Amino acid sequence: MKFIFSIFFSLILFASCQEAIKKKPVQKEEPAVVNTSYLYSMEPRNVSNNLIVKDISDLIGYWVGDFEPDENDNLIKEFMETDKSAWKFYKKLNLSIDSISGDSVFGHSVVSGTRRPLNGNYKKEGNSYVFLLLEPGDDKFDGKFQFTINENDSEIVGTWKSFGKIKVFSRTYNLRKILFKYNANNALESRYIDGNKMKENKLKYEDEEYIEESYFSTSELVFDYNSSLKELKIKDVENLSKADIYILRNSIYARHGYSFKSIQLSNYFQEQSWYYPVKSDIKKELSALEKKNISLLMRYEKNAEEYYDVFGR
Amino acid sequence: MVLTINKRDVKWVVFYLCLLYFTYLMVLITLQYVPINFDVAFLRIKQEQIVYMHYKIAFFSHVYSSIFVLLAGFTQFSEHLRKRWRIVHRVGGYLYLFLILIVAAPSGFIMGIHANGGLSSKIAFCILSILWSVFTFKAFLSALRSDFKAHRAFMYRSYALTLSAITLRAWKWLIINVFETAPIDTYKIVAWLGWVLNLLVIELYLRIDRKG
Repeated sequence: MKFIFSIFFSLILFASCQEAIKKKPVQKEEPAVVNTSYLYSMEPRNVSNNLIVKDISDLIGYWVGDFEPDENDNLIKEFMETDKSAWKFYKKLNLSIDSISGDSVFGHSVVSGTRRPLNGNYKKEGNSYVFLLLEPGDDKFDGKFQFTINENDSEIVGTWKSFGKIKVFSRTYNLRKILFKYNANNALESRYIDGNKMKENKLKYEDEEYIEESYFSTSELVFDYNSSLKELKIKDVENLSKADIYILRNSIYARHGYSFKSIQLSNYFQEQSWYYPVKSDIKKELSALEKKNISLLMRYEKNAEEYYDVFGR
Repeated sequence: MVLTINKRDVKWVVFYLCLLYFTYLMVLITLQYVPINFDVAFLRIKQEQIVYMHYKIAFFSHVYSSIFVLLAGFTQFSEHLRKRWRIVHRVGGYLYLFLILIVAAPSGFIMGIHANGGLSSKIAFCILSILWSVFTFKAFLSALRSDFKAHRAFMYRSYALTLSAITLRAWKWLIINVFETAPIDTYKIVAWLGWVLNLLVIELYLRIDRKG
């Protein structure tokens, strides 16, 4: 009789311990090819070293800066001031002008890891170059860029308006040209500190998923390794914290100018003086050493994620 | 029918409940390795070791046998069962003996040589497998010569070490959730803490039991 009681109680316990031995792995952020057609993989050709525009050809290249919600519009202003998730709408823009032929302009935009092709034209009004570039329009967040830059000036000033009805339908930007160069020596300068301290936070806003992978904070050890320079060994990696491994892996992408989808990562790497979010696909540019390190780091990252603080393995 | 529950019963119910729960978790862990897969769970961070045939054999024989060794705890400690169905105690006992001496302990020793966490962990696991074998064997010998007091004492020691599979993981869970220590540092601690404490507790219990 007493035995039956024990069985009964244990069956109740059983119901609650499904994931007691393992945590479910999170979808990992990895730079991926979005589209493989030629148009979608264009990069600026024959970029001049001039950061000041003396000639139309100086406009070819990466123009980067903040992609700010347009607070001149009252609706947007109110939203940015009151909504709790408004901070997620501050983004960085890489407006890449890839080639100019006649008055036709071809380029692409990179915002939060999303790359969209740009097509349009320009005209010279006085000593100002006036541009109108359009995104294709088959994506909910497509819109048009209108901007000007004066001769002998170094700053593009403009606006962006969405084609569709979205929360932040108008943005402003001030961009400067950068000559992006990959440098494996770029070292981490600050610690990654996760303000939320949440394990995983998946938010949906206007059907755009923000996947935030939260891995607490990095330790001092993260500064000891440059994952693009030195081949990491198991002994180097096995005792690192989850955050250390996570940042070491993502720093490889950051050195290549990857524009992160994750806001936490995007904000963190912007703290590093050498980082520019300019590309959405850098997989082909990874060196053999970097690929090796990524593979090892992913293995230990998954292991830490699934088994670090649970009972089983 | 009158149901009386006394203190002794409560102790046993608690013991079996805990054992049932943790055995269930151990079953879940074991099932991760069924069917044979060289790149799953713990093996994902043993890629340098799993290339060796002797490690492959040691690892899988250890994982597949240990769950049954653990299950012995359900049958062997029941006085009622031992008196009413002697054959179950006998068969269970021999199963326990052979699985440990021939499979689980030797394979544990081989894995111990390849343990993560440096020399300290390797020594810990190797000593564990040796003591496990010695206690189990001495328990067997005592039963053969009908010295059941010694038989019980050595089997308590042996099973205390069997339970280290559970206590090691429980300590890891506790230490990491409280201190958030680095993974290998934690592993070095639990490689010892996971079984030494079990032995100390059982020795203490045996001494008190002897006096009482």
